[in-house]
Parts: sequence; C-alpha cells; structure tokens
Amino acid sequence: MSLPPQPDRDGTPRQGDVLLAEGPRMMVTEVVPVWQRHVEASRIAVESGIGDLLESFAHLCDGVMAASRRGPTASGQGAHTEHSATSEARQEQVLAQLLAAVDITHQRREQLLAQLAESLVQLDAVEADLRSALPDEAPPLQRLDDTRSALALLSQQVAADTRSDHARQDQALAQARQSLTELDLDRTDSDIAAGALQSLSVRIEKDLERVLLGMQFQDRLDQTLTNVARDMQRFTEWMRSNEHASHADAMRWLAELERSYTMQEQRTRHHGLPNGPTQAGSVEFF
Amino acid sequence: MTTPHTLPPGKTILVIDDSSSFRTVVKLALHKAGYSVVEAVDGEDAVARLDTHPPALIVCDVNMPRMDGLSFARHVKTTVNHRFTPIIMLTTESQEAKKAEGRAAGVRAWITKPFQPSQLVDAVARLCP
Repeated sequence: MSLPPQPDRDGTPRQGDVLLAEGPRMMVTEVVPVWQRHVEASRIAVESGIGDLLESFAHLCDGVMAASRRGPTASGQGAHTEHSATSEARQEQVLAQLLAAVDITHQRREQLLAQLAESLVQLDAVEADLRSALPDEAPPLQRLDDTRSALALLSQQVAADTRSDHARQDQALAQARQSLTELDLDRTDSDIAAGALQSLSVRIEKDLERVLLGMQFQDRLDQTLTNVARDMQRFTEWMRSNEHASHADAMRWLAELERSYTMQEQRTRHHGLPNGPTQAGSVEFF
Repeated sequence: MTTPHTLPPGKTILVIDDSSSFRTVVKLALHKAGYSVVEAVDGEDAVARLDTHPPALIVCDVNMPRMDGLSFARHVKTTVNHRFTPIIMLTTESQEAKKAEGRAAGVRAWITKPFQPSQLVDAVARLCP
C-alpha cells in the first residue's frame, strides 16, 4: 500500500502527491462499478435461469406426482396383490360352479335316457301281456306300436342331443379354461409392470430430493453476489472521500466484511480456505 | 423421499423468502407432502397475508428487505389471531447469536440452508400435527 501524500509546509498537498492519491481513487471509482455491474447482471441472469428451470421442474414434478398417485403405492401394491388373489379364488369358484352345473345337466340327461329305455322295456312287457290276453286273430296294437316308435325316436334324438351337448360343453369349458389361463398371464404381466412402476417411483422420489437440495445453490450464490455487489458500491463510495487509506482501514474493511457474512462458506472463502462439498443443514427445535 | 406426513387439503403453510427460486423449492417440497402453500416475498408482505390466508404454520427466512424474519416473528407474537402459530426459520444464518434471537422471538425451530426436503416436512409435521 502506498504512503499517503505528505502535505507541504503550509498544509497544501504537493501537485505530484495529489496525482499519486488521485490515481488509485480514480481507478477504483471508475473500474469497480463496471465489475459491480457485471456481478449484478450475472446474479440476475442466474436467478432468472434457475427460476425458469424450477418452473419447468415444478410442472415435471406435478406430472410425476400425479402419475405416482394413479399408479401403485407401497401400500397399494399389497392391496393389488390381495385383490389378485381374491380375483383368482373367485374365478376358480365360478369355474367349479360351472362344472357342477354341467355335471347336473349330464346326470339329468342320463336319467332321462334311462327312464326312456325303461319305458320302452315296460311298453314291450305291456304289449306282451296284452297279446297274451287277446285272441290270436285280434288286430295289431297300432297305437302301442306308434307310441313305441315315437319313444324310440325320442330316445335316439335325446342321445344324439346329449352327445352334441357334451361336445359343445366340453368346448365351452376348454375355452373358459383358456380364458382363465390368459387372464392369469395378463395379471402376472400387470403385477410385473406394477412392480417396475413402484421401483421407478421410489427412484424418482430420491432423485427429486437430491434435485431440490441441489437447486438451493442459486440462493447461496445470489446472497454472495448481492453482498459482493453491495460491498463494491460501498467501497467505491468510501474511496471517493478516503484517498489516504491506511493499513488500519483495510483491516477494518476486512473485519466488517467478515461480520456481514451469514454463511460458513463465505467465512472460509474469506480466509482463502477450501470449501468442502455442500451438505444439508441442521434442524434445531426450541 | 418418503413423506408419511400428509395434512388434509386446506391446511396452509405461509412461506416467506425474498428469493423466488427458493420459495419454489420450498413449495415443491411442501406440495409433495400434501400441504398448501401461500408465498410472501418479505416480512411486510407476509403481515399483509396473515389475515387473508391464515396459516397453520409459518416458514420464514431471516435476511430479507423491508422487514426481516426476526422482526416478523416478533410481530406475529403480538397478534391476537396468530400468536400461537408455530414459526420455523429457514435460513443460511448459522450463528448462535441469531438463533438465540430467534428463540427469544418465539421461533420454534431453526433449519439451516441448504435443507433436505424431508427435514423440512418432518419439522412441519412435528410442529403442526
């Protein structure tokens, strides 16, 4: 630091000394405001850029949160599995009821066929009894023959219908089983997709936490640059009227700067010490 | 980020910070946990919003233009309607002297920036169950 100019015997600073003192003051008052403007402009540009970025990020977060709410949650996953198991049991139950109904129909048809066969046998016995009671020259029992023929035809039709129904029922049951198998496969795919979405949701939440922590750098940068710009302005104004700055003035300035800091990283930077990676702050309850 | 604390819609947190980007970060963290947020840019702005949007809790920065956070906290404690509203200071200030001032002003918690969103949400849930 240059010595302050010594006044002449009558107290008036010598011409050379005045120029010597004016030099640093002029440099400070002319150059520092330019740096100050750059610092201020950079601060505003960062604030604006981060503001836009955060705005976009907020929309993105809203979308992710909405999707996450619609998708399975940690508790929803359990409910989904429970629902699948209930659905599976219900399907088994429906299939069993269907098979039971088909079995009953089969049994009734079989009973009907047996009754028809029994009726034909009884009809034959009735005819035989009638013929034995009638004289040999009696005319044939035409109505009885017709009835037997009708019953025989009906029996054949029922037997044919039964076979055809069996085939249709077997086909329907096979299709029902196939549908249930496909439904199971779909459900398995759905469970896998739900699990993947759940993992993705957890990962996004962790990333979100990191991003929200990282985005706060702008606030610290803004505070630092605001302080630097303010101090530059104060320094320029101070220099206008303190051309004879001494070492003590410099020490006072440095002490005042240090007192104005709010962040630990400003204090370490002030002393030229390295700052470690930014850690999350602490919480204290009173 | 696991946030088990979810307030029913309608409970409002007043967030006061002169940095718009920081307010957005706080708002994102609180929205995610189900809270509604009203923003104010400094203490004076917040005073104007106290009665129009009565908050269940206040999250406030310390260093702000016009009215700083500690002056605002002292003001809140003089009001009839809001003197019991819990206040959390969320600030870069980590000096014990400032924390002591906050405690004397009736502040309930002091969180140093940068904060983990889950830290803030846990503190809000603890003070505003």
